[in-house]
Amino acid sequence: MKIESIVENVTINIDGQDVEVPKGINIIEAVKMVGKGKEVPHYCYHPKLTIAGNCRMCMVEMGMPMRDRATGEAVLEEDGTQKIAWMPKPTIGCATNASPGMHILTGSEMVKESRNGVTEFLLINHPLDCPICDQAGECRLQEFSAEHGRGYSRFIEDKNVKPKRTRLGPNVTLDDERCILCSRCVRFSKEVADDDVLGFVDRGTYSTLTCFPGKELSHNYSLNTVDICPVGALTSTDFRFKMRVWFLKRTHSICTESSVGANTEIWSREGKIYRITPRRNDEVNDTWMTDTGRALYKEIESEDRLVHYTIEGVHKASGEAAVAAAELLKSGKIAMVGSAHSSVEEQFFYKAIAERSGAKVSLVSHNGDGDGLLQSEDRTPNLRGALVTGLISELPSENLEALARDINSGAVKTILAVNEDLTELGISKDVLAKAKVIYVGSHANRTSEVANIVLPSLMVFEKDGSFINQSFRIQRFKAAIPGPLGVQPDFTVLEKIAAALAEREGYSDDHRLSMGAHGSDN
Amino acid sequence: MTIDSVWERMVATIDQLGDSLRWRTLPEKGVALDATAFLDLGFVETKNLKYDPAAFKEAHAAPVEV
Repeated sequence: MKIESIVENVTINIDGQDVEVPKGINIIEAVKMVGKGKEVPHYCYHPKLTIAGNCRMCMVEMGMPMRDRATGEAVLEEDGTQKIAWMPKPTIGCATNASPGMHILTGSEMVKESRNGVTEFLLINHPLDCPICDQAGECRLQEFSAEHGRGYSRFIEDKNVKPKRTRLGPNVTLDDERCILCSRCVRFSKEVADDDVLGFVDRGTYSTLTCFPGKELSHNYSLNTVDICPVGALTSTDFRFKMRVWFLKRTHSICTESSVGANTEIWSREGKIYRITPRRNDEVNDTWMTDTGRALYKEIESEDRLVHYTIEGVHKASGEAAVAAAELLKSGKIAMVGSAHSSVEEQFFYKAIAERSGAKVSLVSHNGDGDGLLQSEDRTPNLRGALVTGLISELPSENLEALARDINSGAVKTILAVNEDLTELGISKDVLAKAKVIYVGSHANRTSEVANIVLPSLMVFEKDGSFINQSFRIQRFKAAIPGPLGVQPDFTVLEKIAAALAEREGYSDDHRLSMGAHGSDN
Repeated sequence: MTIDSVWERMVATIDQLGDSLRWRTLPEKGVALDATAFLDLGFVETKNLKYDPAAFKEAHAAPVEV
């Protein structure tokens, strides 16, 4: 079946080159489609916000094919080509939409002069503090000033003095002197976060960004204003002055806060994470993420992190602990409490372990209130993964009271618990004491404290894998930093357990082959 | 054991992954899997930025034209 495109394309001419672009797209986006790094510089325009048109940096020359007013006939040049009627003044690219035959010049003398003038005005009151500015290295004003500015200042008067280090909210600090009044943060708060909290007061060069009286920038998306601030005005209170961005390595990852699966970038250096920012994915999170999702990496250095494989409290090598776990799982009457925080790869092996040990699998739901944006009700990243891998076939329950009854009745003698504290889910410590417990998790809890075998696991920032989000979109994440010394990737340990279980007598050869029962491949 | 070898096994047993998907070549924006087998489950998510349960169900329940 041929699917007709529902987007109508038009041909426009950009710097002498004919380009086919979707009708109605603005000139900034159209120029991006030319590729080759071609860009119309801009500050206030953002693809996911309404057009404000107030920075005037995206000036281009625009012309349309000339037609005779009386007859409507095309007016031709001497060489037979259609004559272009150029607008006498430059126009802003963000608010100019592509239409058939449109001609655009992005590098003419008039355009260069316009950008030069805009840049000079923006720099009049902008402090010359780039060496100590937190935005250095990712500052559009710095980049465009170098590219489009005149290189020296004609301004000999005193610069305006505005408030410095203003607390706008719990996560955002404002340096008003650096603000170029692009209004991206104002529009974001109003249009995306639905919390109209920011605005400008005073006039002209005294215009100042501030919160409305009695309000503060405290919604759970406040740090997106820092991301979209093109200069160093809005800074993350947590990240500011911690590290120069050019020292940081960027790794693609997925937010584990909820089933939305927002695409993220992990910024790290020498095994330490400094910040998490959103990564654009128009199918999932546009260019946004929650503030709470950005803070999840802090659990890495938590004091209750599990870093040793243990059997009955004694440190062991990972292989030894895996073999002991497999032996325990061979004893029968097994229950598994899986996790929707595990990756697809890990769930695949948990499924194999459950099949081979005859374990009944439970998952527990972790639900909260959704915010209608990027924090969904399901506060796990990979429930769909558990379904797709076949680990579960029904949705998780709210607690483990049924499992508690099975333990009490003797129907369950051994529990493999993944990331869950069973004592908070309806199984008291006394009941738990009646069963053998294998605990797999990244952090200690009351279940790991009483577990017979503990298998520490890596956090999402420390391993490769994939999650399946609320829309059944499978997305991969990569290790940004190494895990604790000696802790193996979870699927390596799980595969050893699954392989050891497959060796037991009576297990079908078909299953052994499909699940790699003949040992690990390294 | 590498993630690539895990995926070799996964694609051999998980229908939704098809034959050609591999972790290393997964597009940066992800791949939408066939969800038809799970449409009857009562997921807790309500409408959010890019997800509308009703529209999702409707889109995936539509018969596939060959």
